[in-house]
Amino acid sequence: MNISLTPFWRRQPQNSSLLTALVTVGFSLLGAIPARAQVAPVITVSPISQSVFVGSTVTFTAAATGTPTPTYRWYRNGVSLPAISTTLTLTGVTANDTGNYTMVASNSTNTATSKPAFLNVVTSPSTAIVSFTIGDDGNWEYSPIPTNEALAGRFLIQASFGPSAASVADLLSTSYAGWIDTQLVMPPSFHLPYVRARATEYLNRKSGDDGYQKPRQEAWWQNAIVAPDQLRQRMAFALSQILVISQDSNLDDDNDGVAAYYDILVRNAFGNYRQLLEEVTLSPMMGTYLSMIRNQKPNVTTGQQPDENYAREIMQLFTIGLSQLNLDGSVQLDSGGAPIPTYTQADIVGLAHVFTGWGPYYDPANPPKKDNGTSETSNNWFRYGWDPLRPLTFYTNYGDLQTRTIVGGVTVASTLTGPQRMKLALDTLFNHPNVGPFLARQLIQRFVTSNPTPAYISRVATAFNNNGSGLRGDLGATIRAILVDPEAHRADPLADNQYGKLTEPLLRMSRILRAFPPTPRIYGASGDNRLFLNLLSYPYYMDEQSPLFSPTVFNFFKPGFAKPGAITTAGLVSPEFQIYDDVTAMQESNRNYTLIYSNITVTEPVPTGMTIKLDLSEPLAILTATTPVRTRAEAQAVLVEYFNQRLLGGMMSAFLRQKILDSFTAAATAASNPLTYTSANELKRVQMGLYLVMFSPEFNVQH
Amino acid sequence: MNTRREFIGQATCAGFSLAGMLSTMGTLRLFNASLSAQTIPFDTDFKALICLFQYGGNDGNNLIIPMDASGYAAYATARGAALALPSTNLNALTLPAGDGRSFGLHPSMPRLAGLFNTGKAAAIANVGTLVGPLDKTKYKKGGAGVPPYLFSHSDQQVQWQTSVPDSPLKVGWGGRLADMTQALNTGSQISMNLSLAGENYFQVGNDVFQYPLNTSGSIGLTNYTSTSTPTKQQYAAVQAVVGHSYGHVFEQEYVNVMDRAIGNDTLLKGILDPSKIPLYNEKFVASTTSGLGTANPTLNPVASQLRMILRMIAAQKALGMKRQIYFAAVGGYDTHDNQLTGQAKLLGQLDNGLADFNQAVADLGMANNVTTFTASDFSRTYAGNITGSDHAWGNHHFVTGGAVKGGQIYGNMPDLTLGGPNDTGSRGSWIPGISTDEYSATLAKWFGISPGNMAMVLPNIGRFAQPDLGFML
Repeated sequence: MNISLTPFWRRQPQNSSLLTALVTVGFSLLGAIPARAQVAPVITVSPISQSVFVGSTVTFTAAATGTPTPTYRWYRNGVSLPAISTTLTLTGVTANDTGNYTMVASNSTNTATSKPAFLNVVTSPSTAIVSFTIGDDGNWEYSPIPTNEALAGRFLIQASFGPSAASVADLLSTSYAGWIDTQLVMPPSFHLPYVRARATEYLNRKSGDDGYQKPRQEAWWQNAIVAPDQLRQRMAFALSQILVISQDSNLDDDNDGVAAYYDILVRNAFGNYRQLLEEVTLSPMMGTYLSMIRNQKPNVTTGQQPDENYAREIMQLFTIGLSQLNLDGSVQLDSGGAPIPTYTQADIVGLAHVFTGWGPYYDPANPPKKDNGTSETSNNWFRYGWDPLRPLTFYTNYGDLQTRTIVGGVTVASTLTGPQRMKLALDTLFNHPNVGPFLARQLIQRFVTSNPTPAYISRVATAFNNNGSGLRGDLGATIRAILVDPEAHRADPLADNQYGKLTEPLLRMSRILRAFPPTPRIYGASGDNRLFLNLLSYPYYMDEQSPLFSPTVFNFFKPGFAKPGAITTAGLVSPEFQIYDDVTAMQESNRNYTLIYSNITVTEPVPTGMTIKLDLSEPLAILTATTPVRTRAEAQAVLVEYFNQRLLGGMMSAFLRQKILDSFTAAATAASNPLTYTSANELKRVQMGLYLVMFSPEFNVQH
Repeated sequence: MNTRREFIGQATCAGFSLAGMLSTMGTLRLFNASLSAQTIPFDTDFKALICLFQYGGNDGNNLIIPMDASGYAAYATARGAALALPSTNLNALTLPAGDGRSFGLHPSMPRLAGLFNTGKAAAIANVGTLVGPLDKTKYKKGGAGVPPYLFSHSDQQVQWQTSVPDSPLKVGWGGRLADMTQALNTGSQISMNLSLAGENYFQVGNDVFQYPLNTSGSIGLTNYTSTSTPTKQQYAAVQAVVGHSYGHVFEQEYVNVMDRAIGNDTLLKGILDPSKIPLYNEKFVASTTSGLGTANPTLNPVASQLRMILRMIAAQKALGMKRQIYFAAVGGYDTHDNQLTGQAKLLGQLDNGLADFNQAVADLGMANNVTTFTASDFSRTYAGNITGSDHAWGNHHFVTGGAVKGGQIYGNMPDLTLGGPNDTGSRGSWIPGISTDEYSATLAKWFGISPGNMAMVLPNIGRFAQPDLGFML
């Protein structure tokens, strides 16, 4: 579909190291080799990813075969470590130990590299700064422990993809902070492995069709609904709306590349923002989306200047924003009362020069091969090569190495190499005082409320600036500060217009699917939520919002969007209202109608003639329970209260409650075809109640 | 994704005055009542602009074909047996005396040729996405002077629809046109921008939304008017919920949107009741029974969309709309293989749908009030592949309606030499001679935008020589 800068034959095999290993084994088997022949090393056990608290002792183990017996070496992010056995032990780990660990086995014939294991080092909760300052109105009450199912549900609407019976019980057995800390150390659920498996299934069925972005959308739903690392997945989703790339671009052909990009967000969700910024910047996906890949130094002959796209957006959208901010997110004003800009056009031009010379991954020691077996040259690879999974490489021939000035008057000297220039630029942006309040506001908006108080922003920005151990940019400490803050637990949520937010369409849908996952669960006890995509049928995404599918780098909605009318008049912002209008309102209501009332025909994955539906057995059992003995009116009231606790975080108004109960009565007493008390009709009552709950402002606006 | 609002650029509209714009609209043609026996009243100053998008990239090289002996011979050689159309079946275009050129339309398009030859259709030659005037030398130099992501469907669709290839903002020129003219629709609660083909970028404005219709009408709540139990009781509760007052402004705004959306649908379903606005199936008989069209109206996607548009045009007075901008679209033009068969079917549907629609509009007496134009991702390579052709660039398009100064080809046909001065490479991908900006500005001027305000609709128009190509009366 898109203009292909990369002829197919130039594509780097995605599993090149695996391929190499297999080929090597193949040779050793095919050749009539004497018994004492040399055999290249093969990794038989790769190390396993771990998340641990600061100060822990960590052991990685790997194994390999080969003749003669291989020697071993461990690497962190490609840098060799002293360990020379199949075991690597790290004691007293710090945040600096976070990274990818591999073991390389070598003998006289060849080397083999294990799959990487990711070590995630998380700040210990005992050292994290958590402010429990009472809010501006002095009246907030805050219990660190959820005292009932409604409060647990309310918190899980903020912090997960929605409450389920299991997650509510889980949270009730601990405190908010305890739940968060458990989540912080949970191993990540990645998206790329799922995408690869599903793409292979597609290709096996129809040559040339790897499902495009559909396997990636499936992976998102599967992880949103059933992955245990709910907070990490939510954080990754929030970050995907700040560090935006989109399949609505020439990335649409690269489902593995886009999934790998999402996994960068998953892996670094509780890591350090500086590391995340670097991985994002050097991602070939971001490089393509914002045209930094193949950006070149000025050409004196043609007059061509470096592309300014990424230089502008990394400042405006990813780090420092347009105006100088105070710690509480308020805009700094000059003596004339005007906002003080964070950067000038000259700063953009300077940074655009720093962002030159970066092209597709290229290892001179192991260059990509052409069809005829000869090595691809660096120059050609810069121009035409493509590697969707590995970070960009700096090409000296194409990079600007003159002295340049970037934001804050920082000089990027001509004595620096390309990678040193990149590091200086990213360090400069990361250390800008705007980053804390800039990210704090947007992250609070994604989890809790559209219009956080300055004090709330200030508390979160403080945690970003210093996690309690002197470390800046700790995203785990940042999300913890957001979710344990008293403002996330206001006891008077309806007291003023400032508190609350319109929820995101994807999170409304995930809330329903987590509460009532589709059945039958043919692909295992935990369900197979990619089946949900069948509801959407072609083109398989939700129009108004789908993961990594925004129309522009400005996301589906902007942090400062204010719906014209009463919200604007009140001086409030309402980001999610940017994608809520006549059309999406009707589309979503009708999607809900189908979801609640219909059996959905499954076309993907293969089984034909099968249908799925929401599992409403739990609410149906509540409505029809025979013990304790209840009147029909009492049973219906219990059902409505169940919806209130499970789906609305206890925020159901008396008005809505009465309207639902009234509709039950009206249906039961209808002049024609009254809804009598048969078991089939009880399900209809559950469905009608659920539709009304999902239609309600209480479901769509979160407090 | 639909319904985008980008408030960037809103400030640039602040200086706009409606009175200034209205004064430049030109003399309205007098409505001659004797022309029509229609009984539906309409506003004589009403205007509707319809974008008919050919998704996939229509091969313009087989839309307008040279008919002079040497031109046709070169055409037949370059395109080869897989793509060349026989000269005997072409529909000759009657060009003005002295034009000196000789061209014919695709064999499937006799009725469009008829519209052209009676002055109701004009052709625009070699129009495409540009960031500024461009020749082969500049093209070879590359860089910012060349639109990004040429030959990419998604990008070129967006660029055609926004006419700002050098901006990442996906605000369409039809959206900006609506931003500028929406004040004329004071009596309407429904958006001026009406889409028969779902989401698109053409109609995304800074503050005007697109309102989607399907070929049967508007979108409302499923089974909303059902009288069965418990659907009826469910929607009674919905009405209570949207009618209630909420203390929190977010909750109130949430129900306000629901309330308005339900109301719009109810309003449209009322106005479009067949007792008030006919279904007009009889106007599209030819579309669905003759030529290469099929016997089933729903199977000619052009006719089915234009029929609904005709009904909405007929309802303009009842709707209180002085301006309407439509988006209709048909896919399937990405003819990498089996082009001769595939394109013939698509162009046959287009020919009949367009001709029936123009006749039906004329029957309502509204010929001068309605203009339809075609657009597409890009043209296709002059030199084909095995049975089809690949993505190219500059393309030919048609504008139809009573207000069109028809019977002419505007702009120069490209030099059809492979590797020649108009070719980006060696396969016949023509560098456009006319920009989408010039094409669109000519239409926007007819719609009521003064030259002084044109940059608000087409920000890059100042870079091009012809803000008015002259094809509108």
